[in-house]
Amino acid sequence: MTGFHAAFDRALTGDLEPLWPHLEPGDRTLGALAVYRNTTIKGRIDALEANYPTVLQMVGEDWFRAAAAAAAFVAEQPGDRPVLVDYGAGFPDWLARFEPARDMTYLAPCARLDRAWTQAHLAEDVAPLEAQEAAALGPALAGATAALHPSVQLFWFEWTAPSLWLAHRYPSADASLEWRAEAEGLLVHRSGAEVQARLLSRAEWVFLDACRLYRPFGVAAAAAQAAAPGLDLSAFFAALIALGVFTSPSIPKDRS
Amino acid sequence: MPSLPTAGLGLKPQHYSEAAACPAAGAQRGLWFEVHPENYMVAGGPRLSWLETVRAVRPLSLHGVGLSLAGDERPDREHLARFRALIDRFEPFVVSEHLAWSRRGGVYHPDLLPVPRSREMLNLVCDHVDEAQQALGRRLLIENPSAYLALAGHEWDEVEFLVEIARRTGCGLLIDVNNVHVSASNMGFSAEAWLDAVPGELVGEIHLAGHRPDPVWGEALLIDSHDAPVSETVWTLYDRLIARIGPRPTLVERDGDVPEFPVLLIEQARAAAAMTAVEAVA
Repeated sequence: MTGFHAAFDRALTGDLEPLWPHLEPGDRTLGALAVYRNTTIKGRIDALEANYPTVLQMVGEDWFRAAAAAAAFVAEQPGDRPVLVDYGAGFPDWLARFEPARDMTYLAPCARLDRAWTQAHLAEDVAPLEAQEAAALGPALAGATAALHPSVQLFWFEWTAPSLWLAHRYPSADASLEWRAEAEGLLVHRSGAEVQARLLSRAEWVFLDACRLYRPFGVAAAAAQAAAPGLDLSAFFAALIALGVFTSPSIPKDRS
Repeated sequence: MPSLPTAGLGLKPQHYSEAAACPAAGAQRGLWFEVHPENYMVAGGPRLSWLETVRAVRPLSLHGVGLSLAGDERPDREHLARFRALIDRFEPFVVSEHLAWSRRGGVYHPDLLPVPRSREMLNLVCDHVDEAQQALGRRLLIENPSAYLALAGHEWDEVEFLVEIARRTGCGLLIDVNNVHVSASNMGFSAEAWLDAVPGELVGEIHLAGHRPDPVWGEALLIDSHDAPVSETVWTLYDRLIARIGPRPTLVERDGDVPEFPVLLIEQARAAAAMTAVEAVA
């Protein structure tokens, strides 16, 4: 550790005193220090803005950047990695506690869904389970341990947060902008290059949630049927496979 | 056979498909692309596959901004490993970083922060360059950053300091002509004299970019903003540099107010033409 670096670090947080002996002060010194300070803050706020477009759209640029949220967040969680496409993981939880956002109860949930979009966008590339492969497994499929694609993010809200978020982020989905006390599920995942998002029925959510917990497909199917009696299971499963949300399942070894 | 890299562009996500489709003819025969590896240190997804598509048809340069070589902490092992993985996957023709720091005490500062050019800092930087070159398995080119602040305790001028780092570590230099102009204007030295002092054999790449006057201080404080076309002053300095040392792979950088791809190609073509003119004389 050097005295210079420690002093410069302090200067970036606004405490210029320790840096003074390391400078040749002139009339532009404060201006020059502001360049560094502004650049570091702007870099983080730009990244936050890019990673939370729905929040930005809902509150507007002034509120987002200057007034409160972004400046306060980046000061508290400046980040420890130079990978800015992944910056701001803590923003949804932070927003939920942020006093000036208290009346905007929809903001933190929508931030959580923006974060899910980023995670799906950056997730590992793994080939999805194809219908043909599933069919080839025959009856063994029911006992196979399900595996979700690494990009899959599942949500169940007691409010219409998923629709509200979809209406902003996927305008073509024609989702409702109304904030109602009505339960909704959402699937966010990547298929090929594109991040996809769609509302989930209770049966779909129950099925995928069981898969998320590494239950066998048979157990997931039973849970879905309990949630939606009379469900046409084969059409239901085929539709989920077509979305590309599974990867190849692992088959338990024959114990005989 | 792919042509040798001449004038390149910073690759922007909004230009991926045009970059991959751009025919390798005329001024674009030697077109290449540069990216910040930090933007590709992700598990998967379209960023990496697009970069692969572009890399399949064009030479690529990886230009790091996060190694913090002039920091007072050792380069981050995990960051080096991720950087190495990108080098192994994309096989860049050149790998570069900055004479600057950005990480300390678990905080990353998205900026290129300065150090005084003292013996203490020389030793630190050389240790970090050695370690990085070892871990990356490649010779690095080190870039001169823009200077805004008059620091106390310089024992070398900037060119001497860079040359000494190169001598001790075997690294090469990336000369950012816009940064030289910005620093010269802010610190009050001659950009021409600075460039004339650089040993040509150490220069592996040249950067060109735009700058802006500070909103408060105006022309008295130039900002290396990368959000404007390359200025005429910088083009003149560039011509002077390559007239002396010969052509080098030259990058036109634009990170803010990014125009359409064809607009960037106009500046790229101008750099390529300058290189051809120098070759014709030689």
